[in-house]
Amino acid sequence: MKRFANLFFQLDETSKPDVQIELLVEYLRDASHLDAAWCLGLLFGHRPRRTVVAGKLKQWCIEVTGIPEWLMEESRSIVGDVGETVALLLPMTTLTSDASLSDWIESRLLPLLDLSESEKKASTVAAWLELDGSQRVVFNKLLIGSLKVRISEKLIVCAIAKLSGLPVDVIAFRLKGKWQPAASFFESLIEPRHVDAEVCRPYPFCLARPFFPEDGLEAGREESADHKS
Amino acid sequence: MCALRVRLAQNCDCFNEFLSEISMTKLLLQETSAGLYCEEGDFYIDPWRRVPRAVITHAHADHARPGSAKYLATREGRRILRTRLGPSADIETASYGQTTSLNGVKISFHPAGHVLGSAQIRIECRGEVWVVSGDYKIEPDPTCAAFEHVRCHTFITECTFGLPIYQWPSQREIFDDINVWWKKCRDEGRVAVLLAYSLGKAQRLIAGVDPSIGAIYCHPSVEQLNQDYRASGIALPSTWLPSQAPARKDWGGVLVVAPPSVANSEWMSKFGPASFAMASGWMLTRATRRSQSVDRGFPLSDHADWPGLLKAIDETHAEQILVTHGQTGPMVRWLNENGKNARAVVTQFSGHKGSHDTDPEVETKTTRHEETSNDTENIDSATAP
Repeated sequence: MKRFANLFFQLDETSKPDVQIELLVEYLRDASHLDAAWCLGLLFGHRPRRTVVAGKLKQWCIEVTGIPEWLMEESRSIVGDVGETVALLLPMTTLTSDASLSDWIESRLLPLLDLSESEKKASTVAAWLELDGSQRVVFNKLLIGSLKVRISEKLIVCAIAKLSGLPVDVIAFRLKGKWQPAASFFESLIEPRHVDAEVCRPYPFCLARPFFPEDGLEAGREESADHKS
Repeated sequence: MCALRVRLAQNCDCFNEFLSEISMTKLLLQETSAGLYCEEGDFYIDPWRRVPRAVITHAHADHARPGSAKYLATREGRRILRTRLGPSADIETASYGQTTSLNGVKISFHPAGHVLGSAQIRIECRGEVWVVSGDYKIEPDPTCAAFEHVRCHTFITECTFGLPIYQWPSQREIFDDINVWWKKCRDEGRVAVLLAYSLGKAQRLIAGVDPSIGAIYCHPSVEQLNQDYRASGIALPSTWLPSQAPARKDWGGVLVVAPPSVANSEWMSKFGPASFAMASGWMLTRATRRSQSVDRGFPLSDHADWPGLLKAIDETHAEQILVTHGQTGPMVRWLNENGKNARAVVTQFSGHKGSHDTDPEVETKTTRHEETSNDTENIDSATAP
């Protein structure tokens, strides 16, 4: 989670494509395959379902910090995002969580879906106590479903291609369709043999060309001509 | 008998009203079109127009403006103020804690911890004490004296970062991040450009980074103030001007400290591939970090954060709090809801977004002046690494 939070903020701060690719390659190289898969899921906008509405998150923050509602609104109007406002308003902490991104999503975030509101609140407040400032921003945004990472799909594909040493179109092909963030998905994504992509490569059909009867038809060759409407 | 008592009581009420009216009209400091004015002492504090006598909290351009006949400022900040106001300004100085009397009004300076020589101004007249905070921070800073809590009846406080979202991370953490970023730039063969206001922030950064990573080069407007800091007894690691470097120097791994206004200028072009970072309290929120279009933002501020402001206000034990520049509305409401007597005061101190960092007029003026007069003459002619 710590490394993903760093990645999120660093991608957010720079608009240079080469720097963004480098940052993502670095993250994916050092992360576990499951973390890498979740990271790609979040980058492509396959966010986990929203578990808490933004209003509730604000309310819990007001209860924890004792800040009046009007001051919360003043703050939000400056920051612009509820998840980040709440993270900034919480008391500073020196603690930080070493648990991975996938641990946080699979063991802490997704189970919240089935809980009652009071249980969700208790679990969220407990999470705030474990996380550092930037981790809280990511966690809050995941809770209310507002996490958007500032990187284009094209650059993500380039980064995976660079990491795996595979052509860009192979990676782009493998990312098409539906996929679930799982370690096996990431492994198949960077799998060096790429027959799959070759087989599915569309045949480069000839474009329609004019037919000159004087050229004649070769004997034994089956050709047909359509009227062009 | 009973009627007489009632009349006496009524008279007493009138008298009290009269007294309070006098005290209302005879405020020790008044808001005027030129700035905060003390009628009894006939002086202005940080005026934004030319006045006969100006008492200055610190040398930042929105507080120390040229053109006034006489200035009174701290001894600790006199070199910087001279650099900022020019050689012809009539500047009188007093040490922190030393009392000066102007027309019977006692004035003394007390450390504000903002930049070298920055002060809160304490004014005492007929037993009533007012303190004007100027800009201040509570955190320790090796390049200036630590903030001192001064008790008073009325406290005029700055409020640049007056919202609870502003809580500064520890300085150690920020400087560690800056060092990591610099090392990464060095390893990639890029120049690390750290954008920060020339006065105060730049010197605090230079004093705080790890100089063993590489050489530190400064823009002339920063370097001139580095010299002033050193001459005032503040230890800073060695810094150089780019003009001192050998021709065709490889700038990879060098740290360049420059004001934000030169980020896209011709001056920057000689350095080659660079990573830009900015050090400012505004870098705490994503929205402002992104708006600055730099690669990294470090939330290092020379202003007090929300807890710092509240602590400073509490420690004055003031009966009246006047709040100026920045988020005054929320701060005044918060104070009034929490048992204090507060109101906002309008000044032209620009505590607004990025003002300290992006005032191009100020930066170009100083740059032009210093590039012509100091770049070649005053700075040591030693060869840079």
